[in-house]
Amino acid sequence: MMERKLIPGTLVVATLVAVGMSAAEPADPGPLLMNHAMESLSGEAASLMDFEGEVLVVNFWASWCAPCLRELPILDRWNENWRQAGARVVAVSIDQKAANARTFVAKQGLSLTVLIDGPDGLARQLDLPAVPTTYVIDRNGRVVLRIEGSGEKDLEKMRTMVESLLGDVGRGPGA
Amino acid sequence: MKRLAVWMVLVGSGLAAGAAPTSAAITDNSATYALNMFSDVEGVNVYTQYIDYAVQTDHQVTISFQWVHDKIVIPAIDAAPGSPESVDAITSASRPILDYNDAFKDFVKIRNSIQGTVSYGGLNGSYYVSSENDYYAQMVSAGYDRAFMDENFNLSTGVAYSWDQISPYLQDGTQGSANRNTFHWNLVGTQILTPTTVMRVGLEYNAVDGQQHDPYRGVYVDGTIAPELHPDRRSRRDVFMKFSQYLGNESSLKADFRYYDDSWQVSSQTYGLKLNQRVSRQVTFRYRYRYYTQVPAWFYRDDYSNTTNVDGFQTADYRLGDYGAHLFGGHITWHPDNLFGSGGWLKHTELNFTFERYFNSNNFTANILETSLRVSF
Amino acid sequence: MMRITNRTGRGALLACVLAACGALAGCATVKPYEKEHLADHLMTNPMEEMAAMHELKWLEAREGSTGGVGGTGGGCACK
Repeated sequence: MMERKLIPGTLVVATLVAVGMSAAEPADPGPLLMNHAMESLSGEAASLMDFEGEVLVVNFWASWCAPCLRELPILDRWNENWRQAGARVVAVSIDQKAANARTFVAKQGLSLTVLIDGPDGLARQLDLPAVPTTYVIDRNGRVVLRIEGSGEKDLEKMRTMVESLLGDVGRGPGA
Repeated sequence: MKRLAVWMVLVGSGLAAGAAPTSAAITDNSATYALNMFSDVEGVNVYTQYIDYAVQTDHQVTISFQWVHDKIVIPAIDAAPGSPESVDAITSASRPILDYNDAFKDFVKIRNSIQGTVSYGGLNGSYYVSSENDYYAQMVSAGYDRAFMDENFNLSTGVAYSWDQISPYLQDGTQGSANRNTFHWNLVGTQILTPTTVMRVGLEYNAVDGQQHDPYRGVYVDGTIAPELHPDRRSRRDVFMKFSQYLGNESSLKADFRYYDDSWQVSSQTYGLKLNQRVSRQVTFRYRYRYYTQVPAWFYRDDYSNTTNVDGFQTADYRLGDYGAHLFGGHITWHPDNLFGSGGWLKHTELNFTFERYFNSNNFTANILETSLRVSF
Repeated sequence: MMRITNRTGRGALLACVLAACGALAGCATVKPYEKEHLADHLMTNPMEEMAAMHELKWLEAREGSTGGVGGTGGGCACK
């Protein structure tokens, strides 16, 4: 029957077409991240250079990304403890409409630093592999870790790296 | 048929495997309650309640549970037992009329079903059981899905096997016994075409074996009432395609098409259109239209006075005939903020209201009303 | 009423499959940060999918066809 010949042939074609592509990423995205011009929630110009010398956890998120919205309150709690030790979480929103990001931050009462960049800024230049994606940057502005997604193991890896950069391995805010 | 089924499962699973595993993500728990009311032109009412509950464990395993409760009420009719006029005709709920007294009472039937599903990564499996006073059904199913091309293409496949025990009430008050078994397979591909367009294409196959006629329904043949009789085997296939397009003004358009045919030579085409429009941050409207057209089974006759070329099969089931149907309606979704207070544990609530009107070329019309509440926590 | 033949069924299947292959071959990869509209409830709504399964049940009880949602419900006397 024609259907029996058509189905396997079509499925083979579909599989052959399924080739993954990975875009090129800057060799060291640290300078790009640090110097990129963004906006604060209140609309003022801002960049990561405003926090030069601190350990930075730069989390790219969006109000339409469900895992991001669950991860942010956790990062907000960690940020409260890390601030005293010289680390900071900076949540960079890639929402097309900044108002959506502002609404979420206000509703959740987040105290961490939030910057607005949109989908065509650093997200495109870095070709983010996932949303959320988190970069850990040391005090010299170098990227030392990139986390894709928001799994429990990924969060733990992030926390361990930050605390090792702060010199407080084993003593931290907890999950 | 068995060889084809095994081949379908192996090919589908083989294609869906092999991609890099998706990263584990935190998900919400959710609970949903829905009430659906179906009311048709002949006074038949079906009230269906759904409760769905899904929870994710610490090990990224999702467990979900669904309970469905149907109450079917068919108004009293004046008809002899076994005559075509005594057939439920519309709801297709079995409607035994054991003696002349039964024909003058509202007939109420209750059906309960439960389904439990476990999901881990791309794998899922479920068990279903349904019970009514003359029908007991069970089903096991399994499915697998994988993402390819940077999660732009998702391929999923599933199989299910159900075995039903049919126990119709007989004229002497005892219950008969018959079986019906169904094998189901599906393969569905979902492709993101552009940042605003998604396409889905699917193939499905069902092989049904066992009793497939209504044990209470009779057919007029040359002035007498004969029992309805359908073939014991039915092979059912369908292919479907769906397009979803996000439009610039906070709206989306969805179009779907399904072609179906089977070994009884019933074939049909279904066309659907849905327009979603967000009117505020919390409220969305949806308008919907569906058109259905069907060609009859080879043994279907409007009149069985001439029974040549039906090989002894006969049916009073209008669903096997030649007809078309329209369905249109509206839907409202409301996402209230802090519906149950701002305690923080309730992350998201969604209320839905649907009204639809269905009518077909057999002069049958029905109203469908559904309301549901979903909460995430 | 339009007459539907086996040729029509094969044509429908072929059209769907060719459309799928054409789409797969011709479309560019959409990046994760470009999927904002696809994540919108206007496009992806779990309640809509749940309602489609509910609807499949009562349509199967009132029409001679089945399918179109990529899954199946269990048995009942209504089918």
